Amino acid sequence: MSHKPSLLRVVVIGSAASVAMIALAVSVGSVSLAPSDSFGVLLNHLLPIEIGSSSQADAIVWNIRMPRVIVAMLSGATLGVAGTVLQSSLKNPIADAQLVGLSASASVGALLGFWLGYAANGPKVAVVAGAVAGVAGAWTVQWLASRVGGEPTRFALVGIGAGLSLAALVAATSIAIHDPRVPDVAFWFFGGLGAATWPVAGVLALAVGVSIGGTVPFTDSLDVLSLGHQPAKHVGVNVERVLGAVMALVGLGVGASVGAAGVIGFVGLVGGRVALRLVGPHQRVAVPAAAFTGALFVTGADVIGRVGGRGFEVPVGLVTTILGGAYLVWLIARRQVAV
Amino acid sequence: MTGALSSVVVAGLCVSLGDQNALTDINISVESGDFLAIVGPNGSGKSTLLKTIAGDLAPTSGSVAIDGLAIQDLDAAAAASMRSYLPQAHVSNIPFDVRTVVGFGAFISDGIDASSEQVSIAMRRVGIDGLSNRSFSALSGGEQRRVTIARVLCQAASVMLLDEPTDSLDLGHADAVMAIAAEEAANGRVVLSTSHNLNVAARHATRMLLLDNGRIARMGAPTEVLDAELLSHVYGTTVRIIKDETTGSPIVLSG
Repeated sequence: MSHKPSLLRVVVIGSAASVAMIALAVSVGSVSLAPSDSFGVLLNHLLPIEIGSSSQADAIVWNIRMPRVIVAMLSGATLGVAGTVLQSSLKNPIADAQLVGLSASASVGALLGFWLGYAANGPKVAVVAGAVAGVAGAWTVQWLASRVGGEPTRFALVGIGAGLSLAALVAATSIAIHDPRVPDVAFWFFGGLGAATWPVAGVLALAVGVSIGGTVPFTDSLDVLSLGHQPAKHVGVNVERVLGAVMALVGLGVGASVGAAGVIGFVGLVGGRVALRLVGPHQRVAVPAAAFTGALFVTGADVIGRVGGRGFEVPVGLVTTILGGAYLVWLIARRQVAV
Repeated sequence: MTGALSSVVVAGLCVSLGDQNALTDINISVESGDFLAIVGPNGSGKSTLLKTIAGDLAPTSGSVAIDGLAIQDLDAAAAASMRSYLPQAHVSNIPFDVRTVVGFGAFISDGIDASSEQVSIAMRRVGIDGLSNRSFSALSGGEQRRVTIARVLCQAASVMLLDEPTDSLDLGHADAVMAIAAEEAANGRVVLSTSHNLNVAARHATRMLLLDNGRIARMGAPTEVLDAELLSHVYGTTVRIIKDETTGSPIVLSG
């Protein structure tokens, strides 16, 4: 791109779209509320003014739907950023936290967190444990990538194989340990936002803030890494340090999101590729753009899952996988990506 | 370039790759103003030598020093301020436009926002100013090659290491690129370049180094290195040398 889209524009448009998405997402569900009612509840809590709203609407919107929407937005944001960062640092146009096996590694930690976390604190412990396992998983992915080399297809296949196998192991373990504190199989493959609470959203916000905020100083180096690791080193990028840091940050955010919302697939692929199309390849703007596209994608998918389930809930990850899988096929069929 | 003299000193260098001795007892000293062309048959160790000087490969014994400093001990930014490196040609996908990719060469001084003046000059010198806003990935192999050479020109390093700069370039562009390398040396850089093309190398280099099986077979002025008997022996084929009437450079004919 000869003129880069400004960061300010990305943030303004992204924020406006996010506010609209949040208003929509807290209004839909088994009890339908008018957006004006749910907006009234939000304003009651966010601004120092009183707007009349029923206590029932308040309980539904503020205590149940709002933490769920916040967890969806934060998970989507960090998964979207993971997508664009993995796509550029691994030079793999279809890289995604799930496709490289990162989500599955984080699941191991999250499972232990739910299981071993002290009773009521289990879900919060799962977010922290997921984050720790995510960092370890990300460094493993980086190490594998350096061994397998720069072949995107081969690397993605290793990630899919190892990731599916590990994810199945985690799901099987969740059945075997038979403990009500541990989420069921669907959570480990298709995510779940049903149990989201404010404390979980709080821990997740901290991890995602560190993850995305910490990535910003490395965005220019990530651009240069697109030359390839060796040429990037020749022009002065400390490749090992940059990769080690961004992979840890990506692992932290993705891991925390797995602990909070389970494995939600294809968000990085969709978030990263759509951000690339909208703002171009400079990570300085692609990272914030992917945070917004990822957040909107997951929250929108959750809205579809709640409305489309006709009284039941379709797990958010099923919806993202239906849409994301189709998008991947379209990308390859239209030769938008070289694989 | 700057007035200070730069140097590359290679002393008693041996490099093993696996259990193979790739380079044995290499001693070279080049200074600002020198354009050393490294030639030799396939597998004679040309690229290995260049990679070792760049700091990408570790010497098994001996040493490599740029301006008196061991290149391997430097961090990436310090090394990049001393030497630039043109890798061997291969087609690659880089999602940026040509101007941005050229500007990446100035990363240590300017980040990714290289001054447009500096980038424009480098692009004009290799004749790619018309490609400015094209996507790098959409270019032909030869065009990508020239963009990469412009990127190397943008890097403010006193030592320029070029691995087969003329690969995938046509006759005219190959000659032009070697002429640019010679200009860079004349302006005070140290230039080391591997080459398959003995004639173009001889026309532009100030000195030549002939490698044979990882050892120096001869180093000196092009007329000294381009010796029919020596080349016939090293390349294992009959070689004749004639003299270019116009430029006075030796021309190598095989067969």
